[in-house]
Amino acid sequence: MTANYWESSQALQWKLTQEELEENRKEDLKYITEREYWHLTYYCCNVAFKIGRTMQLRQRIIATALTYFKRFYARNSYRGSEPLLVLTTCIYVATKIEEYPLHIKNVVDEAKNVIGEKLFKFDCANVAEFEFYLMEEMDFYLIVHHSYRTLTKLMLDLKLPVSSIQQAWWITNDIYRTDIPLLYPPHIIAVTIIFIVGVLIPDANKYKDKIKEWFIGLNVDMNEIVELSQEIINFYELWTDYSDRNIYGILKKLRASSSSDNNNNSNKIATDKKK
Amino acid sequence: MTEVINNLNDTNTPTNDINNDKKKENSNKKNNRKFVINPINNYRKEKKIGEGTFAVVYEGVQLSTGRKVAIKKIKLGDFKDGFDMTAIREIKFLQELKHPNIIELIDVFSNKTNLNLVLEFLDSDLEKIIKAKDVVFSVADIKSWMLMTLRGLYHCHRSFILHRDLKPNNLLISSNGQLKIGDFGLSRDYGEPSEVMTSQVVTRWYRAPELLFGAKEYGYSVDMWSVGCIFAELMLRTPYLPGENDMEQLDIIFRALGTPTEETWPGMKLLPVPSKVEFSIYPKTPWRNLFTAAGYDALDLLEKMLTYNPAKRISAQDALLHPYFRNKPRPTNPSKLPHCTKEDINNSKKRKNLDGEEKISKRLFV
Repeated sequence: MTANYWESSQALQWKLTQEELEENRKEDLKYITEREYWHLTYYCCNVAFKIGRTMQLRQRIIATALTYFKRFYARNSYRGSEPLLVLTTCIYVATKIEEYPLHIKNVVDEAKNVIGEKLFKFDCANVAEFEFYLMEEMDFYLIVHHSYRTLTKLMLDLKLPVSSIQQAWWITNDIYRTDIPLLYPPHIIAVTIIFIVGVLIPDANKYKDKIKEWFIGLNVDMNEIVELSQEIINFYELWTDYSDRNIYGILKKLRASSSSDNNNNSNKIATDKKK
Repeated sequence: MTEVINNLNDTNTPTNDINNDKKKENSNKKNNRKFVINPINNYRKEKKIGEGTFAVVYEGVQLSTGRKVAIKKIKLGDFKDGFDMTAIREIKFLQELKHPNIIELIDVFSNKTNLNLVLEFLDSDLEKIIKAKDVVFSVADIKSWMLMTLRGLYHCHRSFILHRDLKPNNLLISSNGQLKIGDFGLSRDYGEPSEVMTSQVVTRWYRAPELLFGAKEYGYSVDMWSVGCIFAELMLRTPYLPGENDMEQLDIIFRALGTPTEETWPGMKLLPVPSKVEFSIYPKTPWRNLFTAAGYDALDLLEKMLTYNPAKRISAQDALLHPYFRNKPRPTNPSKLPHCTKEDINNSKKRKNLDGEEKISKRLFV
C-alpha cells in the first residue's frame, strides 16, 4: 500500500460507484438473471483461486488478477466477451505485474486443466493477443493496492489471536469475489474486516473493550464501515446459495442469444440509440 | 521560448479528458471506441532517434496539441509470451509516478502488433553533458542536477518503487534544463523488506557493493549508491568506478574507498560472495587530492552516499535535507544550466547500443 493511496490511479481512475457498475451490467441482465450473473462471477473467481492454489501463486497475484477481471467487467459485458479467456489473461498479466513471471504456456495449460477443455478452448496466442486489450481497457493503470498488508499490520497492533488473523485473511480473499475492491479503499476494507472478525472471536468479551477503544481512536467514517460490513454479510448470504452445476447453462444462455438473435441485437442497438 | 513550451505542456490535459469521457461512455465500449479520437491518428512519427534491443524510439508530434513527443515502439517480434517485462514495468510505474523530475508517460497505444509508449520529448541526458568536453560546469550546476535527481528519486522511493538502473544515461534533460529520471525497465515495487530479488541489476559501474556480493534482499540504498557514483562522476567528468567485470568492480571500489571490514560493514560476511573470495586489503584513497574543487559539505554528502553498510547509507529524503543543498552557492536555476550540443549524439548512441545488449540478459531476471 503506497504512502499515497489518494494520489494513486486506483483512487483517481479506478474507484467506481455502485451506479456505474449497475449501468454496465444492464446489458448482461437482458439475457440472464442477476442471480445467474453472480453465479457466473463466483465461478470465474473460484477458477482463479483454484489456478492460484495448484500453481502455488501468492495470494496477492490472484487478488490483482481478480481486480483486473472486475475492472474489465466494469466496462464490458460477459455476453460480448469470453469470461474465461479474460480471466486467464488477467492471471497472466498479474503474475508479470507482481514480479512472478511465468511462461504463458504454464498459465494456459493450468487454466485448461482447472476449467476443462469443454469450456476453455483457447491457446497461448489468444491470451497473448488479449493481453493488450485487457491493458487497454484498464487504461494501462496496472498497480493495484490490496488490504492484506494493512490488515496484518493492524491486527498485530491489536494483538488479536492468530486464529482471527487467519479468519480475517479468508474474508479478505472472499471479498475479491465481489465488487467491493472497486468501491472501497483498501484501508477501509481492512478496518471493516477487523470490525467483523472482532465479533466472531470465540471469547469476544475478552477483547471487546480493547477493540472498542481502538475503533474510537480511529479517524474513519463509521457509517462507511457499517455499510460495507452489511455488504459483506449480504455477499455471504448469496454465496451460500452458489453451486457451479449451472455454469454451462448460464454461458449457453449468454451465447445463444448473441448468435441466433443477431437481428434482434442490431434492432436493440438502434432503439438504444434512439433513446 | 522555453516558457512557451512549458505552457503548451500545461494545457496538454485534453488527452486525459478524452480518457475520462471514454470512461463515461462505458455501456458498450467496443462500439463507442470509433467515436473517440483514435490515439493512433493523434500522433505522427517523424524520424527515428534511437534503437535498443526491445524498442525503437521515434521523434513525433501530438497532433491535437502540436507538442513534440518521443514515441517508443516496443518490438513484439516473435515473442509469443506477450509483452516483455521491461515494457510492462515501464508502463506500470510511469502511469503511477507523476513528478516534474520523472519522465512523463503521455499515452499508450497500439497498431496491430506493436505497442507504442508516448513519452515527453527530452533531447539530452546527463551522460551527454558530462562527455561534452567543451561544456564547463560549476559547483552550483552540479548541485542543481543532484537536487533534481534526488527529488525525482525521493518521489519513487516514497511511492515504494526501486529504480534499480540509475546512471547518467538515464537522467534525461529537457530543453528547459529540467532533469528527469527515465527508463523504468528494471524497476520494482518494494514492499516487504524480506522479499527475494535478483542482484543482477543496475549497470555495473553504478552497482552497489551488496549487489556485487550477491545480496538477494536489499532496499532503496542500492539507488543511493548509484546517485553517489553519479555525484562523483559529475565532479570528475569521468566515471568514478569503471570496472571491467563484476570482480574487478569490487576491487576498484575497495581501492577507492578502502576494503570494508566487519566494523565498517557488519553483516558483510553473511552475503553469498565474501565467504568464497579473499580480497586484498586497501586503505581508503584520500578524496581531497581527487576532488580538488569540491567543498567539505559536498564530500560529506558523497561519503554518506558511498557508505558500505546499506543500513547506514543516507536515504534520498535525508540527502535532500543535507547542509550541502542549503549552503552557498545556491543550485543553478535549471533553465540556466549548461546544455549539450548535438555533435556528441553519435558518441552516446554507440553506448546506448551497448547498454541494450546488457539489458537483454538482465530482462530475464526478476
